[in-house]
Amino acid sequence: MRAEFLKIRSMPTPMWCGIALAVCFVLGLAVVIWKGPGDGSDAADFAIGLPSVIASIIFGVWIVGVEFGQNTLRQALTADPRRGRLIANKLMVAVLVVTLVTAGLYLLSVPVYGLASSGHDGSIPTETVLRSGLSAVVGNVAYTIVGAAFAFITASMAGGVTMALVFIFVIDTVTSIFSWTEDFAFGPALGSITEEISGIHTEVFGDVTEKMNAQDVIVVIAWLVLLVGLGTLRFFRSEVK
Amino acid sequence: MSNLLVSAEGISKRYRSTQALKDLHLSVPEGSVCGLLGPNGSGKTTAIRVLLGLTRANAGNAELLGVPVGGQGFRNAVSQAGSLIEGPALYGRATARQNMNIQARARGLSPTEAGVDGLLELVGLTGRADSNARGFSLGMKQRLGLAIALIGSPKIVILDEPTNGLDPSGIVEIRELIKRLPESGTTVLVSSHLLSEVQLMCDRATIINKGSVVAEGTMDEILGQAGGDGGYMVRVTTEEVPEAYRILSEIGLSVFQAENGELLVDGPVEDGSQINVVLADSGIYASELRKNQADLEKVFMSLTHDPDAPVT
Repeated sequence: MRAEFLKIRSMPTPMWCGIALAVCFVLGLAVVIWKGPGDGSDAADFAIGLPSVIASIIFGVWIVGVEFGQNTLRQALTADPRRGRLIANKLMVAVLVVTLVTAGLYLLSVPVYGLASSGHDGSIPTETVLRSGLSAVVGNVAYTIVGAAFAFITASMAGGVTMALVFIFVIDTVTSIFSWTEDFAFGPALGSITEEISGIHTEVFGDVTEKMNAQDVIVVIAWLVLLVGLGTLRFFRSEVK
Repeated sequence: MSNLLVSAEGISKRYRSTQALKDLHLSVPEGSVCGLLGPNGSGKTTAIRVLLGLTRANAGNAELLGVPVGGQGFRNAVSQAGSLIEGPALYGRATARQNMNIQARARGLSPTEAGVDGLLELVGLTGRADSNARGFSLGMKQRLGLAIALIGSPKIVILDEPTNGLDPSGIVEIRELIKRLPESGTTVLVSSHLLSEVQLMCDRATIINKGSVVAEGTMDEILGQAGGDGGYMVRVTTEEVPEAYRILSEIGLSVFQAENGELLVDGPVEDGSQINVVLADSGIYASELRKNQADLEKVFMSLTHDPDAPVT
C-alpha cells in the first residue's frame, strides 16, 4: 500500500484533482464572504459536493488506469504476483484517500466558512454540514469504486473514465427513467442513501424523493459487487502486457 | 550442473492461431549469465513472461528459484527476481528517483534498504535522478529499467533486450555491468537480438526459433554446433591462389576459394604452422594465416534460417 501512496504523491493526476478541489473550496469561500453562508450546508455542498464526486470518479479510474496507461502492471505483478491483493490494495487506498479528502474538506469548511460568514446573518450549522459531509463520503466512496471497476473492466485509463461517466450519467439515468428498471438503478438508490444520511431530501418535479429503504442499500452494493466482480474477472483472465 | 534458478520443461503457449512456444526447455544455473537468442517473434519474450507468471503456459512446467511458477511460494520467488521486459515500465510523470522508490516500496523495501542512490549511480543516472522519466531518451529509460530490476539485490535478473536504445558506449557499460552481476550473487538471463553482445557477455545460451529450442549449452558448445572450429583462413596473392589450392588439396585438406586471395582450409591439421610449412616449401608465403573462429552469428543464422523464406 505504501507504493500506492508514493504513486499518489508522485503523479500529476491526484495533484490536479487536489488542486481542483482546493480551487472549488476557495471559490466557495469567496461566495460565502460575498453572499453569506446560505441555508444549511449549501455552501459546503456547492464548494465540495459535486467537485468531490467528479474528483472521486477520476481518482478511482486513475489509481487503476495508471498501470495500464504506463504499462507498469508487469512491474507491479513481478513485485507481488497476487492479483487479488493488487485489486484489494488499489480499492482500499482509493477508498481511504477519498474518505479522508472528502471528510477533511467538509470538516475544514465548518470553521473556515463559519469565520467567512461572520459578516452576514446566519451561520454554518455544524451538525448539518457534518451530516452532509458523511453522506458525501458514502457517495464518493461508491463513485470511486465504480471508477476503479471500470478501469479494470476496460483495462485502460481513457476507457475507464469514459465508461464510468457513461454509466453514471447515461446508463443510470436511462435506467432510472423506466418504471420497471428504476428500482434497480444505481444513482437513485445511492441518492436515497446519501439523502437519508444528510437528512436533506431533494424535490424532483415537485415530489420529495423517497426515503431510503433496505432495497436501496442492496441495489448499491449489488452494483458495486457486479462491477468490481467483472473488473476482477477481466483482470484475472487477461494477459499482462 | 549447479543449482538451477530457472528451469522450464515442455513449455507450450498458444495465442489463438499462433504457437508462441512449443515444448520449450530452458535452464539457468546459479552464478551464470545465460543468453536467450532468437529472431523476432521466436518466443523469447513469451518465455520470459511465462517464467515471471505474467502469462500462463498451456502446457509444461516452469520453475523460478526452485518454485513452480504460480505455485505455493512463487510470490516469494518472484520478489527475488528483478526483471526488465519489453522495455522499461516507468511512471513517466514521476522522476527517476520516485520510480525507484515506488518499486522499492512495492517490494516492501525502503529506498535506503533498496540502495536507490547506489543503483542510480551504478547505471549513471545520479545527475538525472530528479528529472521526470518522461523526458528521458530510450537509453536512459533502459538504464533506469535496469536499475529497477536490480532493486533489492535479486538472486536473478531477467532482462529482455537490455541494451536496446543505448549508444555504443552505453552498450559497453551495460554489458560490463551485466557481466559483473554474478560476482555480487545475481544470476542473469538476458535475451538479445545483438548476437555479438550475447557472445561477449554470456557463459551459456539457448537459441530458440518459432517457439522451440534449436541449440543450447555453453557458448563453446553452441559455437561447436556450427561445424567445430571452422578451419583456417589463408591469404596469398591472387596469382598464387591456384597453386596454393592444388598444394593444400594434395595433402588431403578441404580447400574453398573465397575472394581477394583468401582460401578457406579445413581438414586434419594440428595447427596452422603445418599449412604454412607446406606452402613455404613450394615458395608460397602466406600474407595472413588465422584460425577461423565460428561466431554466434553464423551459428544463429544456420540454426534459425528458414529455407522457405523469401530472399529480400
